Amino acid sequence: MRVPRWHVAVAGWLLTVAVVFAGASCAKSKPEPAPDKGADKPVQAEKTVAGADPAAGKTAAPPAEKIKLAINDFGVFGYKPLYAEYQQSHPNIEIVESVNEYNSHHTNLINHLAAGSGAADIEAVDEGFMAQLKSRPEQFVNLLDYGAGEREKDYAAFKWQASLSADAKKQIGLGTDVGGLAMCYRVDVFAKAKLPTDPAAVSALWPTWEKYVETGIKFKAAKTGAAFFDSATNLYNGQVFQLDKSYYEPGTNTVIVDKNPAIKAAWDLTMKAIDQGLSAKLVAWQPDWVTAFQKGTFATITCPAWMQGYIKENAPGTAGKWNIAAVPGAAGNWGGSWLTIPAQSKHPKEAYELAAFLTAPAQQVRVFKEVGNFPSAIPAMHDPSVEGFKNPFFNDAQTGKIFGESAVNLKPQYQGEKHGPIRKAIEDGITRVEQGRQKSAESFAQAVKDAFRAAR
Amino acid sequence: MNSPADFAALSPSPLGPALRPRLPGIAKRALRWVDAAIAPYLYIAPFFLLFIGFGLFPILYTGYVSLTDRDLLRPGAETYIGLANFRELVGDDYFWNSVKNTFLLMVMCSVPQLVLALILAHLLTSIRRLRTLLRMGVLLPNVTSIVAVALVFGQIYSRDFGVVNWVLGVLGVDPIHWQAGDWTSRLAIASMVVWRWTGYNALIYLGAMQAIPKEQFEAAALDRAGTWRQLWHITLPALRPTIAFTALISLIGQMQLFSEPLLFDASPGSVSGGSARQFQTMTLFMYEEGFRLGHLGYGAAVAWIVLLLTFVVAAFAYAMTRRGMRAAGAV
Amino acid sequence: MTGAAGTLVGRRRARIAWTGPAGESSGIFTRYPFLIVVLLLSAFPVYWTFTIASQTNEAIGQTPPPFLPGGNFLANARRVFDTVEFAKALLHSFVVAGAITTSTLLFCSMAGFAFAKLRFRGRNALVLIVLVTMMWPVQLGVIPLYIEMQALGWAQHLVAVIAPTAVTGFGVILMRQYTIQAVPDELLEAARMDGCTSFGLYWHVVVPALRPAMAVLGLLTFMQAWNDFMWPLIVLSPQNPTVQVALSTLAAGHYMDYTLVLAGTAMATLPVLIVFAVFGRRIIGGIMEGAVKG
Repeated sequence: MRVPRWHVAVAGWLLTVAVVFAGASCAKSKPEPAPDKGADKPVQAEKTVAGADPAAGKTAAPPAEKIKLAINDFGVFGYKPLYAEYQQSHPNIEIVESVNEYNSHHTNLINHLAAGSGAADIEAVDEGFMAQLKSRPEQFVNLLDYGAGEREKDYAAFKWQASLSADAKKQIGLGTDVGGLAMCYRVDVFAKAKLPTDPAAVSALWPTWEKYVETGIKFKAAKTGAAFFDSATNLYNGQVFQLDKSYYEPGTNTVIVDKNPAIKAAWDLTMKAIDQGLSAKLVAWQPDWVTAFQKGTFATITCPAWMQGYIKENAPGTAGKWNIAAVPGAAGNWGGSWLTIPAQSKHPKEAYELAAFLTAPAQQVRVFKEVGNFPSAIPAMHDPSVEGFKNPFFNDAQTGKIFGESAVNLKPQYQGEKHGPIRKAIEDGITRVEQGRQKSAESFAQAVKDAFRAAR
Repeated sequence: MNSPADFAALSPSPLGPALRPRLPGIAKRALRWVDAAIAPYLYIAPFFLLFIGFGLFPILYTGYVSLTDRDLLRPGAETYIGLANFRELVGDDYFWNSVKNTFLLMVMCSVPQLVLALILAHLLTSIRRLRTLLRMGVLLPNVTSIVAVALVFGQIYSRDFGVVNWVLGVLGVDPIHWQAGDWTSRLAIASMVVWRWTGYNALIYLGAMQAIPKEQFEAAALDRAGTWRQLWHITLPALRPTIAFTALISLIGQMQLFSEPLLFDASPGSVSGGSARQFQTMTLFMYEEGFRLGHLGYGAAVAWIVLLLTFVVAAFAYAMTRRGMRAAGAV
Repeated sequence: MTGAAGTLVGRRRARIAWTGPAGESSGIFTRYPFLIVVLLLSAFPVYWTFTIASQTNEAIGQTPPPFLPGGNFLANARRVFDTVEFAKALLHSFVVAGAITTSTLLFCSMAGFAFAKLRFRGRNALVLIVLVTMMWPVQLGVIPLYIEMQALGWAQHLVAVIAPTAVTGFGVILMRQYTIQAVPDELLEAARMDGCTSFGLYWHVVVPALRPAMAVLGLLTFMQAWNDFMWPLIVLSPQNPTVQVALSTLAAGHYMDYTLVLAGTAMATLPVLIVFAVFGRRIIGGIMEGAVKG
């Protein structure tokens, strides 16, 4: 006899429900700690020690309570070996890391901050989001309360100030890495255009951005078939990075994008470069842009430290064809992150200790050696292994020195809370001109309007 | 189920139909009354309970937030401002731009989608070979992950090295910068949406078509009516209610179009719908205001307006189809 | 009431097996090519996923990129498993998608049946409400939903991902629509006369008749649940990922390691494709062969 259909349905339903609850309860069980084979033994030792000497500084209960620290980050921070070591020396700490894609990570963080719960004990924050987050310092632990003040001298000025609250009383992040800024150029294309190819000579070609554009005009006249740079927005941003003040009156919430002559000057120079046809009109990260690296479609690109790996990974065939010179003004920064501690954390003190460890100069040097993230701590930058570093892919360019100098030279710039969206509004304006949608004057007017709209 | 006799054969009693115990008259009538009066509500209860539990709270919360000046990262610090957000919205050019884009895309996506789906369903019914493969194949776009979709379409519409521009080049047309133009970007996005959802609708039509008696098709074939005539005279009329249904569903979905415009934007993570907002839809605008700019109160107001507009549009469409179907004697 | 406009759906369930040379041969040269082109276009991105998943990063950077699979799949797959707990993520996705599909099929068909064939007070108003629930844009809703899950203590558990989408308005409307068209009133009358309660009607008459629609809804629901990303990302913990969240971890890098991400994507798509392949025949066959045959 056939099994009645409803038996099957009910069985299936019960099975599903059972599995769901099994799954749900599996989730409650101990999460997997960061890879660390020695974890068990120290706990045992800890128990015995605590039992033997209750006055050893722990609470009255015999075994020390294991504290789980959650750390969320993105990309490649290179902290795994550091976790293992930290857990060894701090047996009551268990570290659980969650790595996500850049945008997902930050969206997630912002959602959790908006909801009031769910953020980790340590959250990595990238430069692109720091302006927004530090304008809400109440969402984060003030690291100065835990002694972060002593770290200030370690950091390049711009790095320390970028994560400081508007009134400079709250420090919400400890810097991890920086991007620095240099100019990567194609040696072979420069040679074709009869331009010097030695890095020192190339750096001398453009002490200012105006001279950079002039070089570009000369380059274009040589008709190599390549564009001078990839995208006009990089030219614009390179200039704006170096300003004393950009979109906001420092320390305030007043938007000055329309009144700041330096911004208009940066815009005008960018427009000149577009008019002269120096731009390849590409958009970063698009398929066209990636292919352009391989094909030599553009001759120069403002590159931060982390772009070296990108070029190597995506255009390995161009090894030896690139070199690195200083960027006009020899100062700049694109990218870089901090470790922050959301106010939601239940273990701010332990979290701070871990964050301080991870961002200590010694650890920054180790991370640099492992994964290439450029240190943000000055002592780390001066470490011989960093300062003396030469990148073979880039013709043995002295990347350690160049990026370090650009970061140290960079003057701190106040970034108000809507700095990101305002920057995007201007970038869209530049793109509109590049795409031929609008003329410069019209596009700038609209960009300014959009900037004020974003900041309202 | 072919006849009451068949049905009786499925009666749950292991004793067989003849020996199935009968309930006393009164109890039976009572059961019947309970069944008629209460049971329907029990059937719809799970949906409504789950909705009240997990659907209603977000809606009410957003409604509350829309009446405040809530900043995304300052929970608890908002103040009540009444309908100020809505008033601002009415005068907001960028909002109306997003409405325009949404409606344009709606027409550009829904019409081809449904027409193609109908043709597909009709053709898929009529073939004998490769049946399962082709019928399952049209659902593959729904299985494809977002990552792959973004990657493939990004490459296809890439300005310098994309397939479409390469084909156009062969035909002597200059390369088009798809993301830059108004209509080119909308066209590209429409192609992504049509690609993704046509198979979905085709399957729904396929399911509905099995209710059409085969005799009609055989008669038509004997009358030497070709595929297209059969589609027009048999399938289309028979599927009218289903088509109205898919049109309504598609409309509602299109009002909320979000993923495709988001993926298509040249700058990664940009929610502005292009450098000049040429393809920013209402939900993208809502997301930009609420999440990127932190104006959660304003974004919440947009969400409610989207709901209202969708309702109006759906009601309008429904009224039109009712009229159309009544005219055709279908209802 | 009687189903499709103008046609009387008799008590015989008709088969749409199309026979006859006249029907088949007309337009055969356009029909199959057209469908094959549609198939190729539909399948291309999935095929592309597998192709890239089996290449090296260097190879895919070339133009034109390789169109045939390379030999690197196992190496990439190994990297995937080294980077994330992929098997666990797959299991979680199965549990979540399976639970959502089951509950959707069960509750949506019940509600659809009630709305279509039972008479009760407020029926039309409630259908309208169901429709309205579909009109709500969900993107901003993650914040209040997360607050709610936190309050319930469900954050970081799979239940939090299952419950909000356990029934959908779309499913209810689809089931209602199909029930109206495919379940003749006469059948229900006959069953009632035989002493059937409404639940009996549901189990013995409606569900069998709804099999094709349930097959479609089940497939679509499963895939939608499988591909859902934003909500699982915010509410689940890294120890409890679904497969899409795990893929996001794969995408974490200074730059997108496409071979790695697409290898993960390929392996995430594989189970769905297998379900397709194994049950596809049955499902599509069921759609086309009609309902119960006794």
